[in-house]
Amino acid sequence: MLVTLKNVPAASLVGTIFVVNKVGKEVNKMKAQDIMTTPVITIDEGATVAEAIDLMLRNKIRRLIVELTHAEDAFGMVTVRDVVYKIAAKGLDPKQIKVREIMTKPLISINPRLDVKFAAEVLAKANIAAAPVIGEHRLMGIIAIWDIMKALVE
Amino acid sequence: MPKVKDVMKKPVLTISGEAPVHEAAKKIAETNIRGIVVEKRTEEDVYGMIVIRDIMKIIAKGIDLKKIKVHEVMMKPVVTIGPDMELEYVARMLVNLSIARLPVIGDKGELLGIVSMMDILREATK
Repeated sequence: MLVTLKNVPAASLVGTIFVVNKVGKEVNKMKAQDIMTTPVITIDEGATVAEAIDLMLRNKIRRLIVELTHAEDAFGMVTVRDVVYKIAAKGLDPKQIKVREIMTKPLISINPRLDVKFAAEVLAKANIAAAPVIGEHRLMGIIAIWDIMKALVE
Repeated sequence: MPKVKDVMKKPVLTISGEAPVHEAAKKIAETNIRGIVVEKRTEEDVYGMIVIRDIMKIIAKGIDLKKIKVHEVMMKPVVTIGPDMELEYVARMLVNLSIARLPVIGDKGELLGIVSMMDILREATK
């Protein structure tokens, strides 16, 4: 593999597998913040699922971050999967259900400075498709397995 | 209630089981279609499927996508459905199987399309 080791401290090599894409860009040196999607589209937990669906379709995205309700609150997420599994499969009316009833909260989050390789491991081990990127108590973006795969093959 | 045939995507993106996973990943990245049907090897064979989650597991293990083949990571046989099922049942089937998409197969075993959560989402507010 096309890896330049001279600038890498020896300690960081332990147990590290280098992933290099076709143009020789070292994906393992990329950070979550380099490939995350930004800005993040958010929704209020009191909005209806119908409003969430509309926001997803209009922005061509598969998940929305649910806003904090107070300063110490945790972020939530509502996804296409939540809508299909919890609303469509039960024949419920999305206009009658609130986002807070189907969202996931709290979330596994990723630090913006985390190596993409580790972000990939976090997502794969947790079996989730995306996580919010949170640094300095601020929502900075979303990183999805899609972003990581794209970074690897392009 | 709309049926599978009203919302399914066609034609379906397919790939050979012998292709490297890297090729599947490239096809997915280029087309924005997150699940690729793996072609039959013979007339009697069944379809397989490779999805972005399968590829992610390989990436997380640090394995070179060019050195591993689609048939090593795909799901096969894959659960399929007919074109006349109502979408509410499709949604329940996705829940029961914990998956996001299903290939649609005709009477003669031919591949007609693929139906995904996103297709169901589009119908959810209509």
